[in-house]
Amino acid sequence: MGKHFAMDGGNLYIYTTGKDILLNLNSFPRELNLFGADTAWRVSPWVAVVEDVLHRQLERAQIVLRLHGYEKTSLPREALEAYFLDGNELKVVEMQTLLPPIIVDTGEED
Amino acid sequence: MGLAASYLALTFGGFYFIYALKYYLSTLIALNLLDPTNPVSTHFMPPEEKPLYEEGSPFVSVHLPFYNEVNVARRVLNACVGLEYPNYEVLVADDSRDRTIEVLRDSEWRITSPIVKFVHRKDRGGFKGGALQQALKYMHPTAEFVVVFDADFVPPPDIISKFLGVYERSKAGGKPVAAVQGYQLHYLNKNENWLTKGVRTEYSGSYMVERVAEEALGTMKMVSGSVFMLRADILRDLGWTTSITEDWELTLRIYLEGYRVAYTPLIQAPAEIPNTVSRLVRQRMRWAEGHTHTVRRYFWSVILSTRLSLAEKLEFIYFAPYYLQSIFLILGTVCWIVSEVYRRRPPFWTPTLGWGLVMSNFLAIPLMGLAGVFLEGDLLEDYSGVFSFIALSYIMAPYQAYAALKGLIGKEGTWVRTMKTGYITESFIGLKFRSLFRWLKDIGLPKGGGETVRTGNPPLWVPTKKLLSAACLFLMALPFLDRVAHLIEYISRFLAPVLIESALRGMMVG
Repeated sequence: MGKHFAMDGGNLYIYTTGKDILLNLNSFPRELNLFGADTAWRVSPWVAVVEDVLHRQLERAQIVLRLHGYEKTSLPREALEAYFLDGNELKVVEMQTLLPPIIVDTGEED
Repeated sequence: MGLAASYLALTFGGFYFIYALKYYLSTLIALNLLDPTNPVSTHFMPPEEKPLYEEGSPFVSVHLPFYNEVNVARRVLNACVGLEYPNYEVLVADDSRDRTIEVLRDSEWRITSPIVKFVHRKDRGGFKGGALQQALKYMHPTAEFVVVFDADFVPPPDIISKFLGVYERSKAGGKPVAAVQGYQLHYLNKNENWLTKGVRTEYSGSYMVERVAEEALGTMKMVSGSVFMLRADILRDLGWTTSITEDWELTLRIYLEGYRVAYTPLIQAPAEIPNTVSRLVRQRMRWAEGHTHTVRRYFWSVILSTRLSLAEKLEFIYFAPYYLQSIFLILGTVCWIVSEVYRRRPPFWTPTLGWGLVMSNFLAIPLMGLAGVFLEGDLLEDYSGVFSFIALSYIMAPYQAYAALKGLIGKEGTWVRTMKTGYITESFIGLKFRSLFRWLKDIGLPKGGGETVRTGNPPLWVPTKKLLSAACLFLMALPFLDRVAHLIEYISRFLAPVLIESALRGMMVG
């Protein structure tokens, strides 16, 4: 079970494993233009991919994703692309357990 | 001038007559092949009724190219997620700039079974071929077959099983099959106006008659843009190209690789018909331009290829000037009328021969359309479409000829999309389609002591078939009747004195 997102090669990957369902794509503000006409994007039941995401877009997208309980991972692009194609989550889950946890800088001081 | 016109009439009319002959022969073949009273007409028998594919079914990827399909997107998606097949995905290759994207963003597609994937591009690079290439890139890696539908089609639930069944049966003989083409049943809005009635008849002639004959004769058959299944391994190797008639180019590349396309009228997906003349003109101009341009590029490769049979090459040669044929018909007819006005013609060219050729050419395609709707059991309902179809042929001819010449001489133009409205006039389509399939399914199936049976076979079927066949034979022979009459006259003139003389001698001897 898990709700995750990752960035690799300029692409934003939003994905779920287990019984989690991918968030509604309309959750992203329209002006962010992540899933609009002028962006190249793909979506399957488990993975949504937005290509060539701008830094500004990514920052705002992360806020939305965290609000929906998504955690950042650093899975390689190849694994996520393979997951998009075949929906086989075993490799993704396996790789996730091997990765060190990502420390999120919240900007707050101790 | 009259003499020149008569020679032109003879040239154009004679050229078109080659096409007309093929249409008449195709009509005769289809009427006999799909004849329920003919015990050998099992050529197009459908797959068995039992569910052929459950455990270990091959994975099938259904590809739907979209471009601004807001009126029909949900309809085709609902039909595709409802297909009765255990192992498939639906993949939308989307280039839309309109509210179609809102349909794709909808969460309902993430919780359905089967898998539904959307691939949206920010531009239309390569047009439909480019979109389908993207679909190929992102389809499931284990996919063994790809099925393609345009957005205005409504595939019936059992279509994948039927495609696989026909594919299995087609493997039996000849070259390996790369694709199975089904019937694009342009039907959903057939009663919207005169134009949709005409196009309905035209498609019926093409899919129930012309392609049936091509399949029976083992000639080249086209992959026609929608309602077809391809072997995924072959498609991965060949890929889609960016032509504005990507289907025709793929067809040629399939044959050049030594494969063939199988056709069956038993796999049908209903679809919309373009409902205005301008939409239809734009669609046909794209077909004519892309088709002719592709012929120009591949002509010598096909002719010189050792992988194509003679029958396939002959069909390709016949296909080559396909979109110029209407203009030959019109020019031939006009020139003949001019020569008649001036009363000038070559010595071997009689008025009977001329008018016979004009009539024979004129009625070839309408008769094929009539035979098509007859074979579908829709003759009484759809016969009037033939008149619209004749009118349409004359309207389309100059546009098609211009586009074909453009494709032959210049660079290939851009893709002009055909607008789909989502408007349906045939609310009983499900019932109609089912009965149509049952009707076809029973053709050639033995019952009891070798008899054949056909559900809902109207009592006038046999006489109507005979009438249509006789009309074909008569119209094929019409341009030559004058010559035959002359021959009989000549023979009788020559033989009469001889016969009389021998009779007299016999009497004298007696």
